Amino acid sequence: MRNDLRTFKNAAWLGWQMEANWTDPFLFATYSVVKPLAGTLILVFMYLVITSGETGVAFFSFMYVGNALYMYVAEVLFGVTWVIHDDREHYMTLKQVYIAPINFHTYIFGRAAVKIAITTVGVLLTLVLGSSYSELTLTLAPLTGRSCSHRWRSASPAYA
Amino acid sequence: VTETWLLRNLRAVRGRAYPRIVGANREPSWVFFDIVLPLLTVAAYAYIYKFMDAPKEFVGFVILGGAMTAFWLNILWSMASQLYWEKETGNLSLFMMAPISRMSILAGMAVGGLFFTTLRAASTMIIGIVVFGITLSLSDPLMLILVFIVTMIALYGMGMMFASLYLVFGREAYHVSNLMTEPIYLASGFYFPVKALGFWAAAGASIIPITLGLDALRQLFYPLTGEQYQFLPVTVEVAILAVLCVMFIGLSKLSLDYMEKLGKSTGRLTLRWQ
Repeated sequence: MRNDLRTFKNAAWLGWQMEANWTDPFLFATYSVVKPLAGTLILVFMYLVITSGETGVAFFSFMYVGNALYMYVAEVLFGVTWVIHDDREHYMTLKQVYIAPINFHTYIFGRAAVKIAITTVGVLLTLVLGSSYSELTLTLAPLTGRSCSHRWRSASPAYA
Repeated sequence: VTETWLLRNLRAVRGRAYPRIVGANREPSWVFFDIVLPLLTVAAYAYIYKFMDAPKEFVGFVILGGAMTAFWLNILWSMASQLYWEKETGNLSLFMMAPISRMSILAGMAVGGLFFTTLRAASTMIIGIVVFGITLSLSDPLMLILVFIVTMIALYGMGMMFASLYLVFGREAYHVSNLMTEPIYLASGFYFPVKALGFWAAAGASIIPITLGLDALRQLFYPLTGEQYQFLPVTVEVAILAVLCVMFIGLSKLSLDYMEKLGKSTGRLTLRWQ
């Protein structure tokens, strides 16, 4: 168990360095935040051009949330699934990693966890931005099991 | 045979453009994916407009914007990043030693890239037009060609400038390219009229030639939309694009000289993994 935790920690750290391409963390952080926000704002502007600013309707919420959560799909398709391929073809380290006395699946899990964590930051920021500057509202009833009385306007948005 | 400086550099342009033109069509499956995949993204945006009952021309705006993304991606990944990759693969030192102007290498990259990207963008657009049944006006074809040409010269001039700057950025280049994908799609109005951003935001985004180029092309393809969606009149946009052509090609020469000078003083120009 301890060995697995150490593998996970080091794989995650390696994944972070690879994601950042060993560059300036500020630039990488900026890129991680700006890219998803810009992608979402494209849809928002498309919507605003046609509707003249009416964001309080269900369609806008569905589109906004769907786009935000789609980041996970893109990350799985173009990020997590490329871990082994990258190690084999690009960095040429797969052989060494595979014969190392570690659990290979734990290593993959650690590498993937960083990608998902970075994507999660983008998703959360997108949702927070949506709640702050539009009329998105979050109903927490499906999570709490209570009636639809919990509506957060500024802290945690979403979606009528 | 004594060859002139001009002939030698023209041969260098042809030589650098050749692998791009031939290499781009070497793998047929890539051609298919290069044409069809952008269309899928475009289709998603087009269906959003259709669902919102947007005016018909908006689907045309999206198809045109989607086709133009091919040029922007080509600028980022095949122009701006290219010298950095040439360094990583060891070709840059050969380019630097060759008895030719470095500008002819950049020009060759631009010509080759422009050729194969135009084929792909045109294919994407034609398929989009057929699939979504949109109609475009060709009432002023000469102006249309002029707008396209000045946009491309300015755009590839910008790419030539970035190629040198990216070499200075080093490892950060990858993130810079990523950073300039979706944000530029947004700022340049690839999928909606840039006028929607407001005058000053659109004016700021006009430093990227594709912003004005797209706006002008949309006005020419849809002349009946009039001033409703236009940012600036076409003639003004063409004039600004002409200025950008001169400016970016001049800046590309300056940045290339700066990069060479920096390389000589630090001794790291062709050093890999920096």
